[in-house]
Amino acid sequence: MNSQRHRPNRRGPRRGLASVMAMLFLVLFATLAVGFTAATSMNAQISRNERALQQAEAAADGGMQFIRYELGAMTLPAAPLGSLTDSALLNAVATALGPQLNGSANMNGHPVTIANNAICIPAANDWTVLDPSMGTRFRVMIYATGQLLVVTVDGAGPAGTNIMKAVQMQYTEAPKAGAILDYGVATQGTLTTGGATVIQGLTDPTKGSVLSADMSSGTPVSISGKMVSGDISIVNPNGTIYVSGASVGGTTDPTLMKQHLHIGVPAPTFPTVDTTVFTAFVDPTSKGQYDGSGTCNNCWIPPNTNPSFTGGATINGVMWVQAPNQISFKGNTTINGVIVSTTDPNAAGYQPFNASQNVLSFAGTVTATPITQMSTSNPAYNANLVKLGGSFLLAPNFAVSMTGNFGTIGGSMVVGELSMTGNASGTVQGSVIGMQDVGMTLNGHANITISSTGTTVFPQGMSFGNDYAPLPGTYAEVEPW
Amino acid sequence: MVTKTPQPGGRAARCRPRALSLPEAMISLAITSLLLVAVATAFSASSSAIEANDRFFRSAQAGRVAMNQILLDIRNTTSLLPTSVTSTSVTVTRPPFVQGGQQLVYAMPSLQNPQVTETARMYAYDAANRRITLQLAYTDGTTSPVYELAGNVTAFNFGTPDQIKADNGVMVAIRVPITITVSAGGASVTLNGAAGPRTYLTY
Repeated sequence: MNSQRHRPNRRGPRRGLASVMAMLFLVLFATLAVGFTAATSMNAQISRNERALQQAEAAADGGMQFIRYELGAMTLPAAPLGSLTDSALLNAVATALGPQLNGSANMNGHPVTIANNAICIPAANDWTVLDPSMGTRFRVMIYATGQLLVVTVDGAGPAGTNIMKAVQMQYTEAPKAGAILDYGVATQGTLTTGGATVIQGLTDPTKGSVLSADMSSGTPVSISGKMVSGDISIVNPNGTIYVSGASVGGTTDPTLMKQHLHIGVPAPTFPTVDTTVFTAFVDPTSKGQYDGSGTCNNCWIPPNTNPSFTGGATINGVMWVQAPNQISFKGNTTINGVIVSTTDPNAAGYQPFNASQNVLSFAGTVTATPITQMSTSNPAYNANLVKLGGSFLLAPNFAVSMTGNFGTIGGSMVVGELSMTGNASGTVQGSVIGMQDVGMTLNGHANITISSTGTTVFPQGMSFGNDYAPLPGTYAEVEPW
Repeated sequence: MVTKTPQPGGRAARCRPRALSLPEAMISLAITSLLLVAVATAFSASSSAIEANDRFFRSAQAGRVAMNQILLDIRNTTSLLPTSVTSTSVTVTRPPFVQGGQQLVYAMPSLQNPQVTETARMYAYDAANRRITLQLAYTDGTTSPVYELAGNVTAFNFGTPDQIKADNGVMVAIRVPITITVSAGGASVTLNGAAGPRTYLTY
């Protein structure tokens, strides 16, 4: 028994040394493993942070592009915004953005509202998710200062991270382009052609297009004339386009013609006309008043004058017609400038559209020259006046009739009502726009040739509202809000 | 039955080893020494590997931070002429501070002389010392000390910038590509990036 008891004591120390060595190695390699794991996981974390940072930056950039589109798509009143206070401007922006954004998935159920003198999209404490699978998201804050909008966009990385980046840009007021200028003839009312009437593009047939925004008539456009070289569009989705014996879009084949007839198109914005940009060049005193001589050098015609220009009348610069007035041009008339009416409802000489009291009648041949081509050596043409191109006749509260040849007129015609009969023909370097919901009639041998520049030129005196455009020089990366 | 109990100092007691013999001790010491040397070598090698790893990743991280800083400054600069970009350096104009703004990048006052503010920053590659440096220029014409942004940079290059003609007819750089190669402990990584001044973007 004693010998059995002593045997383990003799072997014990050798087994202990092996155990110590094993533990030593175990500790050593465990330490190394921990070190490697720490280094590797740290680098993996750094990589994740880098990726999240880039995703946050991309989200902020994406948000800035999103709001740039929305601020560019909205339409603010054409009236000068310079007089608006910051809060009024922000209100106008919120009102314009609301219909565009409310109810969309981007808003996440929130409406466009103003809180703490700022518009937050979708909300101050919510985000618009860019990519649900990753969770990248952005939010936008807009506030007004001066006449500028300051837009700050926060972008956030993947869900579960707090990594954010923010970019800021300032936006300034910018005039909107008018899509209506892409049409050759456009009217708020109905359009009827008859006889041998032709509406055509000068070099591009598609420029000779027609639009009616009338919503009350079942047949807003009725074409019985000879030709409409472009397409015909109506806003009324339930309306019909009547075509009889005419060529539309280059064809008389009813089947082929269908692709040139568009029903229920979006209603374009009709221009707001403000002629003060032209009337500023007319002396409003008696010195600038039309003297009945047949020549008008930047003159104004008081209400109820009802002058008749017979044979060789010449208009240099601006003819400012105040309402009511019935003005007729008979014989050869030379117009080296523009004819405008009073458009400010609060100004003297303004009267709403009245087809019998506010009349401009061109019975003879009209020779027109764009004001931009006039020499400033003539005192009638102020250096600033000759810069005001794109418009020829701005009288949205007048009924205009034309029966003679009007040559080439260097700008758009914006009238209340238009009728062309007899041999009325000529080239319009712009568009013909009827502003009243009344019938526009083209009959006889009326021939309108459209030499339009479309939306690339902003006619003076016309406005299609404003939007806000970014100022790239104001880009700044900022702290998230 | 008679039981014989072993007496102390008897034969049985003499047979039990009381300690290692000299040869046993020497052999065990030799084995232990070999084992300790092996352990020490392994530990040393592993430590070196960890240290090299650490040095490499620190260098790589410094390279990333330098890259981000350069890209940030290029994005926010108000002016970047093609002549401001060489293959190993770029000089970016600092944007002014906008009152009330929360800008991260703007012309800051000098730390040495608060009376003057930054006008530009020059990032350059110091090939001799294998590092990326930063130097600030101030309104009074002075410059800051040269700061090291990242070390162990074995290659650094600004590519030829893309250019456009600005509204005033002057050619400006709209995109600057950057390549940074960091090497340490036998490993290397090449970082690529590109940025352009946002002020030249057209919308």
